[in-house]
Amino acid sequence: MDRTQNDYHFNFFSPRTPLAKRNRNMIVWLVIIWAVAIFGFQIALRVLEEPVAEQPLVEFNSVYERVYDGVASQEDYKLFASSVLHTLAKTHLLDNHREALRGAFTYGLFRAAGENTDALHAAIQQFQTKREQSLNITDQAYLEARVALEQLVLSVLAINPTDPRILSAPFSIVLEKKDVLDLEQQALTKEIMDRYLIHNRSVLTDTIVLGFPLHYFYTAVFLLVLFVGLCLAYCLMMDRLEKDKKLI
Amino acid sequence: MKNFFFLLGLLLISFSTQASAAPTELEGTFKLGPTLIMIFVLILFILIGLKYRAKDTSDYYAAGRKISRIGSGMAIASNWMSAASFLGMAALMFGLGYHGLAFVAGWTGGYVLLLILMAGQIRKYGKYTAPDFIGDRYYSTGLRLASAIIVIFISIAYTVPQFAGIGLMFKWIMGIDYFYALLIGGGVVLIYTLISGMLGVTKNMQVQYIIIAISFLIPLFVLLYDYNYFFLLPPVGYGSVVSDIVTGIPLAEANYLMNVHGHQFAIVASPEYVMPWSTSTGVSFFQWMAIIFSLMIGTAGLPHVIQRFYVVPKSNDARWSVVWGLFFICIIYWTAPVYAAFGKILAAHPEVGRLAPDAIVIYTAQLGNVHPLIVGFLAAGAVSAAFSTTAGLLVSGASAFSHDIYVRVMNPNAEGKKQLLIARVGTVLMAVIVAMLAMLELALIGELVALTFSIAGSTIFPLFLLGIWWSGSNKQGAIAGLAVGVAISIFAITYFVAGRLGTVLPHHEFVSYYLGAWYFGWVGAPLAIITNILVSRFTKPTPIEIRKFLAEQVH
Repeated sequence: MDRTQNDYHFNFFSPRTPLAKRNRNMIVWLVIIWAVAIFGFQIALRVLEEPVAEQPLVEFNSVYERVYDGVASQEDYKLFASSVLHTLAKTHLLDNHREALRGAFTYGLFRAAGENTDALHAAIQQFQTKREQSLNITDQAYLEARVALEQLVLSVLAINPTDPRILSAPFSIVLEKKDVLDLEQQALTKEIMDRYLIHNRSVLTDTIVLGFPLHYFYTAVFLLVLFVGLCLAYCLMMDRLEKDKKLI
Repeated sequence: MKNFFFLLGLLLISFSTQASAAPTELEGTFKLGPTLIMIFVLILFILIGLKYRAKDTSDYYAAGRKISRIGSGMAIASNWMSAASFLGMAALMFGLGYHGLAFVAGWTGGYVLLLILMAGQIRKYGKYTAPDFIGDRYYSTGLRLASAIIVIFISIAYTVPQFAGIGLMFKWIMGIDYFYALLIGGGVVLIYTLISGMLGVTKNMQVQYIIIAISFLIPLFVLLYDYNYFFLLPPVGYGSVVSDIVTGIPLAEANYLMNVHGHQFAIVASPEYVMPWSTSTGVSFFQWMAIIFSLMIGTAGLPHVIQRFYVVPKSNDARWSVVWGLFFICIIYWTAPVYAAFGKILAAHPEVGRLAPDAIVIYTAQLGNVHPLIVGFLAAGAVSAAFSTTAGLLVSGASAFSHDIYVRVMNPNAEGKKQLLIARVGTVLMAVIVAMLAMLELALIGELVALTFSIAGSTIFPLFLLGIWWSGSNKQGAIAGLAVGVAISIFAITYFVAGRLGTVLPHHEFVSYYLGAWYFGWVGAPLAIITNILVSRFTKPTPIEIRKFLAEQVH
């Protein structure tokens, strides 16, 4: 390579002028801050997290084997059905998972019903009939049937009346599936419950900042503030630098 | 003209009473108030476009380089604030919880890279379009042509979800089928872009940003106030909403707070919405990191974003326009999660049924019993967001077609009028292709947009990064790097499309996981950069004229 070919060569790491050198230093520092803030925090989140089960999963795990073996008590069935109902009440549930859980819930509910079985059956049929007949969800007869069924399920499962999972109960019953929970359904139910009720938690997720879980606040609010701050700092520094060099 | 707006205002007021008394339907009915608001907004845009319409090619491509820092910042924000930001981001968070925040951070963090690595230098280089820069910097007509084709492809791919968003909003407002909504909405945005060109677009973008921001924020204040949360500062006030979703909201505490259907404001404990990498969403830590990285480098490689730096007078204006642009963007991004969080609770009752995630912003406002006219204004804001980005993308794609392919390669002696004609023909062609693709409804709006970021990150970003910061990056290196970026993009997109069509390709699961359509940029960009460096090291150096120009003019 002759001398001419070596002229005007530059790269980010070997700037040609003092201005470019200071610019490079600023960029290096900003990129380090940027990268640590974004990726470092998420890595810390990953390192610190532990899988934690929701209370309904703990209850489910305490009874599901007895339910599957057919040796569960009525109380076991109540816990089984109410814990499955908790998952059914979640808004984010895949269709096939919801379908499988409906079967498991109905099965548990009818076994927990005991002497209320006939009443439950009637209330379900009444609700489903009214649901088909009503033109909209404010129809009085439909609403009464829905509330009656909710109340019956509440009493059967002994759920706290303020527990919002009860709102999902009328929509989670599949009468055709009340008698059988086969092996495949059993395995699937357990798998779904684990999938939806175990969460990664740590001190970063359980600390509250301005009402937010810390990690959520950090990613949704603070990071954006930081990005604007980094950009602002760079512009101010560059303006100062260029002013010193009389470039602007 | 004043009389027209006065009459329209009167009509809106008279219909507000009627609209508020009408029963709320989430879908399927013609909504008069929102329709009038949308017409008003669209007429406003067209009038501004007419007033500031492009007079020559300099106007068309770079708005005469007369735009102020704040004005350019607003235009950047408006250009950026697409249907993906306005509708798609809340949709992603509504469905994927914490995972959706990867999109929020990715789409904003990339601006830091864009600023410190590119903005000022791109302006100093002084070209009109991304292919212009690439063709000139790498002294290659072939690369100019290749990058112009990529720009057109990116513009089309990015415009598809915008059309989808426009279709969704027209469908919601007019109560018509998605197909017809798409045709009408697409037709309107096409006419508008053809009339105005970029000068009109830039002016319009400033107005559009104001409409986007106001329409997006008002319902949030209303929701937070109505449901007893701290409403004065929505980005902070919704923290308690998020925590309430984690712990659940019992019925007893909520018996006086209802959604529009009369369902109580209650939800079972749903930590999966907030906790990181929940198995319930099926998204892993790796995917989170890959998405955020790909979105960030994609941000710094998107042609229609880079093109915004050509419209400011000086390089420090380009830098400051990024700061302003990012700030304006963050105003929306800080608050988009509020819609998702409220939507989660307000749609918790099974009777609400399944809602199209991409319209969750609108549904949340409706379910929260926000006044129908405010919801209508929100929908008009969504249309504005999709409009502003679509117009910018169509101009960017048309510029690549007419300026970089037709004038630079096919007909260097073409007159200005001929160039404008070709640009407009290109715009129409693109709009037709986009409308056809949008009808396929391949994925969520936000996901489709993310795909284009990976393409830009794997192809354009490495060329700009090395082109600006390393004089040793030469034509051969650029060609090789681009070839690798394109190959990875085609590979990942092939697997994505095959998956959507139900075809299973070899190692489908493995490829779909590690080279997912939303984040293959994490592999594409580094490989393209490494290839570019390696090939450049072993081939003929960059000509001294280019090096001299870079050293003296750009750095």
